[in-house]
Amino acid sequence: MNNEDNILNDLTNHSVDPPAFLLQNIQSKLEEEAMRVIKQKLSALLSHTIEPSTRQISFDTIMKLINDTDHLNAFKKLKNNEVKPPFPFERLMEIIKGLATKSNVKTGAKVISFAKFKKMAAAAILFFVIAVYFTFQKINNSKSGQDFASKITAPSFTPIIVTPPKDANLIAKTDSNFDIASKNTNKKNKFFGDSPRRFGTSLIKSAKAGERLPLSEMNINGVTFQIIDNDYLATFAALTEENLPLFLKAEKPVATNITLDQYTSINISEGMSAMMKKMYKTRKSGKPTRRARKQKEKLEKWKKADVDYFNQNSNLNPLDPRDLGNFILNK
Amino acid sequence: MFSFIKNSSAHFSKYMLLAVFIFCVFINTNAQKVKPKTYKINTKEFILSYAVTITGEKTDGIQQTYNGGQKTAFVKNDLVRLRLVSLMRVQSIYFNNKKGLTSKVASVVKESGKERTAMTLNAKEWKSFNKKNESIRCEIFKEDTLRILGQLCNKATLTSKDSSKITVYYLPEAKNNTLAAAEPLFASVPGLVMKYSIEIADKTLEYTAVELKFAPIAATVFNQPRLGYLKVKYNPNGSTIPVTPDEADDDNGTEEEETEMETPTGTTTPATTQPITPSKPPIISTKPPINY
Repeated sequence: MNNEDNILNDLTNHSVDPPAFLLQNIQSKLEEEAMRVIKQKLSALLSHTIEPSTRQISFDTIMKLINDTDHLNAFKKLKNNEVKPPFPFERLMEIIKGLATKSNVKTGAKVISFAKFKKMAAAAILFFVIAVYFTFQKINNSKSGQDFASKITAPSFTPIIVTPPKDANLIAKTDSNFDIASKNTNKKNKFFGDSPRRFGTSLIKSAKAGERLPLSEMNINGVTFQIIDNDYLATFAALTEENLPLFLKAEKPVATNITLDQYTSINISEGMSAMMKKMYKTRKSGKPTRRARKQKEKLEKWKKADVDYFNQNSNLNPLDPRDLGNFILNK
Repeated sequence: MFSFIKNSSAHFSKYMLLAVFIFCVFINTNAQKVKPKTYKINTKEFILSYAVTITGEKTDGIQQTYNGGQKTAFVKNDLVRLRLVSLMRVQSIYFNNKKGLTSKVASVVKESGKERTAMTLNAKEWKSFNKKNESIRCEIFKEDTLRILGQLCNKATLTSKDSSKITVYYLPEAKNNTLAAAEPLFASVPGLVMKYSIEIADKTLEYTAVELKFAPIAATVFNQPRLGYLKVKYNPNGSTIPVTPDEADDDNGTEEEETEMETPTGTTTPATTQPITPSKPPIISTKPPINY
């Protein structure tokens, strides 16, 4: 053991080589052995057989069986059950017969059962209520026919607001006019202008015999004004501060509605009302102010422009929205 | 006995409750079915009034003299009168749609002012007067609707040759052929025009139906006024020409049931503008207005 370094060298010198194909032989031997064992197991398995287990009863079959049993039980129960009549049938028939003969003897009238009577009463009440409902609906409809103008998309104008003049003397002068105005407002069906415009089939009261449009008078807030040359602008221009209609006397310009005839009523817009008001301003001497004269001149200029425009061409028609629009909207 | 009455009253109240329930159900279903009132439209004779409104920027000028005016269409069988009433002007078109009529088909009458004129048109002249309406293109928008006077109206747009566009709302199935002939601008609209508007220079001129009446119209409404009207002749290429006395006589000769026309300023005087300031102040009366 002193010469330790040489031991390994000595051992390497004494090494013996394994015989040829030793490993291959071992491997083939092992494979053969394994195959033999598998074959044995397979042969054993092939020879082995297992008997099928007992057939199971399906769920439906079981349920059917249960139901059948239950029915049978129920029938059995019913068979055994006996319900006694609350009142003997024979006795009941006797009572009915007795009652029938009794009532026939007494009155001989047609018998109406109480239940039938109740049904009839209920039907009558129902009929009455429906009739009342329809009557009210009819009344409401006729009313709404008159009020339709407020519901439709018709252009809305500023309502007529007539402010009575502050001057006490003026009130005294116009008091009667004011009364007429209020009276006429109440008499709604007399004039379109003072009443809401209507849609309906009401008969138009025929105009006075031989009467034609236009009329020679117009109605403003209940006061009748003579129309000059059938020209409304000229009629307004001819008014003086003393005889102005109430809407032009108001402090602030207000829109108003003018009844012209049975079929026509026009609105004077707030803007037009403001322009008109300027026409009536006077000096202390009673003469119109410069502004008033200017305003009248302006209206005259417009009047001339209107006549010139529609006279220059026979084909221009103020009733055509294009022609009218081209004239007034381009200004 | 008492129990019997009690039992009966209980049954009775049951029936009453049932009746009230049925009634409530009936009212409810009826309320859900509320439909706009449908009127029997007599397209042979009616009056349709439109309110004229002008809206937009800077409308405080001459526009105000037409703003708030009224346009009315009187229709009676073959006769139509279209009338525009405003502070500035009152103008009517009398139209006769009688078959085979060639002379005096229409009259354009300026009713207001000192210089009131009447221009009578024969069939040929009427056609020429409405030449601009010949090539109107009507486009219908059935999905766009508007309720006017409780009636559901459909929308349409009319485009003229000069590309001006008019928006129209019409009442379908209520077209009147005589009115369409008197107002050829709307001839292509398949119904009764209830609203129309035109937009020019950021301003809108709008006509909205405010009244539709189906009732007899007095015959006098269609009688053309003669006294105090200056007869003018239609001139397709320019201004109207006053009719000379001879021509007026000839014209009267062809007219039926007409009286001699008087002119206030002479028949040969051309139409001139009269100052709006009248010679005499208006007569004012405080008597109640005439009751028709």
